Amino acid sequence: MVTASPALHVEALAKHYGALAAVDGITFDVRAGEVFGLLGPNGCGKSTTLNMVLGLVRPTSGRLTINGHPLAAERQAALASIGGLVEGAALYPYLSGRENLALLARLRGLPAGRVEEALAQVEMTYAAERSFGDYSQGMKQRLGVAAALLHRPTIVVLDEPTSGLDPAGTRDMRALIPALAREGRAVVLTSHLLNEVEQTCDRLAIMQRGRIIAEGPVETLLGGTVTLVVVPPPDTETALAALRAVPGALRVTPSEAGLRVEGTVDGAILNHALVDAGIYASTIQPDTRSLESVFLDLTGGAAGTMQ
Amino acid sequence: MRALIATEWLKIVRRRLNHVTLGIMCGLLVLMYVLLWLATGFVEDAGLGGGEMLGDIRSALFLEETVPFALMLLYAFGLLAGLVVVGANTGAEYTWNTVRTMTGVEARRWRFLAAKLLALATAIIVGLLVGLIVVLVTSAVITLVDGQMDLAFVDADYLEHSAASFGRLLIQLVAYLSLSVLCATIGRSPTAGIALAVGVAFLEGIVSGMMTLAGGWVAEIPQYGLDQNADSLSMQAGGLFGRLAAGGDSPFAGVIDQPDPIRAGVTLLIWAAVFLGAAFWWFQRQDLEYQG
Repeated sequence: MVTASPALHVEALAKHYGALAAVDGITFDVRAGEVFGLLGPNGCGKSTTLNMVLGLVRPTSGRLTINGHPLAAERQAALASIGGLVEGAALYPYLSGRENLALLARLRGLPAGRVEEALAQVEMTYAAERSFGDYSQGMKQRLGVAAALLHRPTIVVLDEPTSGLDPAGTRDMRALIPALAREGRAVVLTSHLLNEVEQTCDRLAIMQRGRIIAEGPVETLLGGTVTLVVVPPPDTETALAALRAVPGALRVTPSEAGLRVEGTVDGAILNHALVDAGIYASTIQPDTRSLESVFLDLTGGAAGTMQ
Repeated sequence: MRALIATEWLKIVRRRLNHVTLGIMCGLLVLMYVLLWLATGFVEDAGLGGGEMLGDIRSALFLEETVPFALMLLYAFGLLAGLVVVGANTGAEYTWNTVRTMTGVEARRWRFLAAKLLALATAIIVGLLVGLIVVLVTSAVITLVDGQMDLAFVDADYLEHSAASFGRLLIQLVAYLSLSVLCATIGRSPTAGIALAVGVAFLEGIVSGMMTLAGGWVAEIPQYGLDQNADSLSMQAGGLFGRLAAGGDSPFAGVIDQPDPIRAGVTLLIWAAVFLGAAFWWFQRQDLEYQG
């Protein structure tokens, strides 16, 4: 269940490296019970943002509040309720999987049984005695997720969580992420697999050059554009004028299929506006563009730059 | 904090590199003793001379006089081994990115570094004690084989002098090891921690010697560094160790105006505090980006 108050509040967050603004004043909220996706091309500032959220990188300016605790002033309390896996699992290669988790559990004051639960959760019990350094990339990723979830954080940050996983592991991870949200956790996710993001995220922010250029529920980003077909007789000028007057209709243009309306508008409202203008549309259908096309339209980038 | 220190200790104890380093140090110590015993025995038996120094070296191998000599070897090999252990265990946290995991668990970064330093300090002391025991056992075997075993010299004064010498050895090492922590923290790698500190340890001795020979006010500068102060403490151990630290038969003997030992100890501890303070300050404000 998504709650009203944000578990994670990011406000005007910025990170500058000399003259380079890696993150340039971004603001977003993530609520408990929702999966929030962060998308953008390589170097757009996603990882830097997640590193700042996890307290690993110091912001140049801005505010980060985690479960009501400002990170700058109440660092210990803020970071106690967040767990993350950003840019790969980082554990000791000469210790076994179980020893690595036991080490973290002891530091967090968790019972030993929690280690076994976490290993079982990511299906790594069978390899728990092997050294972390001997694990495959996918096994490391699984153990990294187990380490991130060990203390049952209320906010989970996952950067490319299916990276290196085999198909079964990918399926399990895709099942785990919404399950975490259903348990009431806030999940922040990045992935270069846009269909994965589309399937698992409730809301998205698309970043480019350190800024958020689009943000909203996935269905809004995907269904914000409506194609309107008007027959007969097509009174294009009247229809155009009526539709352009609708709040939320950002762009209205004629197309081969009919009138294309782009914006965060509802089909029923568009229909109402047309009827008021004396026009009866035979069809109002959403243009179900894929997230990839939305992403490419917004960032103006090639698919190869997506991350 | 106890859990943090226990965790850091576990990481040191379980890492094979640390075992190998301790093994190499102990092996080199035994090798030095055996080679010197065989070589001095050969020279003595063959009547090839060798003078006072030969006698001193041979005496230093036997149990009664071996502690200062053992400390001299421990200073050389122990410093290298210590720099490897400290640099590797501090720097590897960056190359493995585990510093990101650990500071996620312990948000107060200074506690993480403090726990690591306490665990490393304990490991270094244990390692040096193991080295000392290995040397004493080796010396006991040599003494026994040579038929000179007599433990009458072991009295309270002997033990007190040995303990004081071991304490001075720790003060000699602490500044260099602290420098290794600082270098690994700033350089974010074991290589930085080991190479820079080893480089300073060796180059400073050469530069200090040249500055001393230059005379005048320039000759006084090395007295505020690490090398001459460490040598000043070495001399307090007496025996062969002390004479070699004072320059031995080299042209430097008598030229170097060794600092007062108390001042030397304080200077080394101040340097250690400066290096560690800088490491804490840097670590506290450091951005911990992922290292691929």
